[in-house]
Amino acid sequence: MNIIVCMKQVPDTEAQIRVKPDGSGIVDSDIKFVMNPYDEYGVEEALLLKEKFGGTVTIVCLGSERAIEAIRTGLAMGADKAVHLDDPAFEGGDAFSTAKALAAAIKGMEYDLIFCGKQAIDDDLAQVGPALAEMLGIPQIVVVTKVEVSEDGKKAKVNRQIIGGEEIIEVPLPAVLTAQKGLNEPRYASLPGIMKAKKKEVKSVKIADLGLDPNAVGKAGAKTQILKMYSPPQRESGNIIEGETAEETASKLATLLREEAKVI
Amino acid sequence: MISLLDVPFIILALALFCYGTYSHVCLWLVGQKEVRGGSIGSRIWSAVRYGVVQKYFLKEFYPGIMHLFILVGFCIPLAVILITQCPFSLPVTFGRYFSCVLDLIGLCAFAGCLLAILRRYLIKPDRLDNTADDAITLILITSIFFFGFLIEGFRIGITNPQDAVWVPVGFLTAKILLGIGVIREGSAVFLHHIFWRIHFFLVLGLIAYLPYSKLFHIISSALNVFLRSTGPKGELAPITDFETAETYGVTTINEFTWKQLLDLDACTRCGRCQDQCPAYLSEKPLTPKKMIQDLKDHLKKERKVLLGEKDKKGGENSLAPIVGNAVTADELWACTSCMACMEQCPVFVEQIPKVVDLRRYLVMMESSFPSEVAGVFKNMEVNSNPWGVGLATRGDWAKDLDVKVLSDAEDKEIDILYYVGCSGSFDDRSKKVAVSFVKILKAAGIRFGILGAEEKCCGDSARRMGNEYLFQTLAQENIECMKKYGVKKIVTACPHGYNIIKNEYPQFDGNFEVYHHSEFILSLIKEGKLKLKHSIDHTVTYHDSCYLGRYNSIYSEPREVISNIPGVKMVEMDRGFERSFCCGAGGGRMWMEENIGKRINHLRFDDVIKTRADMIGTACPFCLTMLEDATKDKGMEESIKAQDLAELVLEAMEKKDV
Repeated sequence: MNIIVCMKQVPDTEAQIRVKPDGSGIVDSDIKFVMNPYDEYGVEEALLLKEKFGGTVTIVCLGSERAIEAIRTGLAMGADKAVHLDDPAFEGGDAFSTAKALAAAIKGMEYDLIFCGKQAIDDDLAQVGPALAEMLGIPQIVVVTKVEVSEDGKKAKVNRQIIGGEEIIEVPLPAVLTAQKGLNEPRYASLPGIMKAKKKEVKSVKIADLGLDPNAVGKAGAKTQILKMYSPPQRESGNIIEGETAEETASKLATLLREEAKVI
Repeated sequence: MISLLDVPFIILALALFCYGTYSHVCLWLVGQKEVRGGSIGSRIWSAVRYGVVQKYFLKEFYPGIMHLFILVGFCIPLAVILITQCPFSLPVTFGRYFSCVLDLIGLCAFAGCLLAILRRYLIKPDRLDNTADDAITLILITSIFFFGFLIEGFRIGITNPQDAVWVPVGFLTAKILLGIGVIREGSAVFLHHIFWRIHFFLVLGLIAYLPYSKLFHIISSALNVFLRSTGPKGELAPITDFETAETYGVTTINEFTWKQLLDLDACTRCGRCQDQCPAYLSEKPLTPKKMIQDLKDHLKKERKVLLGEKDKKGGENSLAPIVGNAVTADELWACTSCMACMEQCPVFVEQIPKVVDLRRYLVMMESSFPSEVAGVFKNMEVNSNPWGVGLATRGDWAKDLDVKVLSDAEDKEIDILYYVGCSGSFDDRSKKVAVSFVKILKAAGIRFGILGAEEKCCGDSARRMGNEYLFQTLAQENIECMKKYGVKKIVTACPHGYNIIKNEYPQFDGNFEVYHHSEFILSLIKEGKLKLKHSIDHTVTYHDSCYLGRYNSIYSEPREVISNIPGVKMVEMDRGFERSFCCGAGGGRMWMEENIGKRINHLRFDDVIKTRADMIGTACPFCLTMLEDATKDKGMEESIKAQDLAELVLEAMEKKDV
């Protein structure tokens, strides 16, 4: 069973995000980047299926040069090889143009199943997985928490989260599944895994390799564009009302509510 | 006396002795290389100083004196018997004193044996377990001395020499034997001969049995004391070949070094380690004594495979992994690396490096560890601190304090670097300690700085948990950064950072002059740079941090700092100094759930309650967290406060109205 995992490198959840002065994006120097946590569930599930059925796990990642670190993390966990779409022309796109590039790269590959994270934690769009499935013309199931592949590898029974419950769906393979938290517990890469990952094949793919028009991908091919990005306004600190007695405190509060907040 | 007919027996006994000893040595030599350097002279001196004098007399009286009696009574008469096989004579007066002393030494040995029997079979301390070998050995030694005195009594009774009183025990035995009428003309000489033969064969038996019994510790333990580690206490050996090695840590017994295998043979099951072990005392599955014994049994079990001897079925055997066969993972993860076991061991068995070696395999090869640790490792990897708080915010605690952050400062000249550590940087409780310490440094006019966002976790927890790769990554980044700013001196309020930077960073070419804040504050007080003018009316009990006390022998400095504060009354807990009881957070336990047995910090808090102190003085952020948590768990956070000594000192300097 050959499995593809689409992976994105995102800022660490704890990183201090600063918006560029022109509002076009975030400042990406001085912050730590990691593998998108939802993609990590995808990598883990692919590895579990590989352990059961054999085959290969290939990571497909679109991102700048620094994304290689996240790719190596996936390879250290146990993925066999990776395809890195690292042409600047692919960058700055939206979900549509990103999915387009990924689809073009994946089209020529052999696969039985594709995992994506349910969303990337940076832009929270949750659209690349579904768009990719559409472009490849295969079924998709999103927000997946359990995957059971049939013995013959032809179909899968998949649990997905819905509000207040679960839905179990059977789907013919190949299909795109987007991973939700709870699907598994991603492994901590062993040291031999980390060492081996340094030597595993990472194929660099440029726009010419895919035969795509530069205007169809990346920023140029995007259907949407970011008009402005800004940090939420800083909240003013609250007021702690103090008084000698409870009555005094309450009366101060009442005065403030009436005169300053004007709510009573 | 010995005749030609006895020679085959003597040869047999010696052959059995040699073969048994050889078998032990063969097993040690299956281990990996390890160099135990140092001059022979200094090793002998330290073996005597630490091995004999300190361990016997200063630690535990009953077993100490018992063992000393047997040891002396065993060695000296043996030496004399060997010497007296050569013909020579002594001046009469000297000879008298000599035989008197010798006789009394023999009596001491006999008494030692009786004390041992009493202790092992009647007093039965928890730490002793009994095997057939213990009984055989004790009976053997006791009866050798018994028959020794018996034949001496017969000799004196029969020959009635003039200066018999100079052999008081023999003289007394003769009197008794004569009194009860055992020594009779005709049979006495024969009986003397029979008892002599029994004595002789018992001695031969002892020699032959020695390498197959616990008595082998006479050789193995002595060797182990001689070869003890002379490096910093509790130092762990670095892995140096990450790129080329195929496996990391230890999984099969031959992956230990020869010295670690000798350790197993040196252990005499005395159980001093177990008596002090916080894991054992809090009902966790680990006891250092049992772990070492289980490893020893495992070594013996693997003997055939190790020495390439053919299996009975003729099949090739492979070595079984230690974890799961001799030691369980729960045992390994229960260790707090507090070093109470190593501190107590009279023969310098090194338990903790073995625990860490086994953890290294589990962590780096199999990614097998308590599930909560995975997040901790990832946090250390990504954000260089165990909580995973964004690394850019590491220096934020000091923002309003006007502290020189080396990366931002124009003037990067400092006299000393304050290494804050993860707790001081991110933990709200410990941040207060960091703030207090900074105020103290400023009040004393010290030119210091911090690394801010460039500082990384010291890596102590990672290393003790077995993630050597992660530790070395962090250590190297810190060393590089410290060197970049030309740092020479470092002060820190965290004993874990203190220990690892001072004692283990030199392994990676990071050589700094490191101080713990207790030492530093004390020197400031002594130099008169700090004025402790306000009285603090509290009864304080100081809790020794393992990494400050046992690891670095810093016991008096923090106590002196606290006792310099006016108004403070200091009281000691029952377990203090080198017998201090761990708070439960060392060895990476800080980051693991404690769901087996009792909580170690609660046990320690019981020690605090007994002193009736209303304040716990600490000098370690982990201890502070654990003990303060215990006060909260017991609902006593109002009546017993936990405070770092820096907070106490600052309060005495600028009393706030609380």
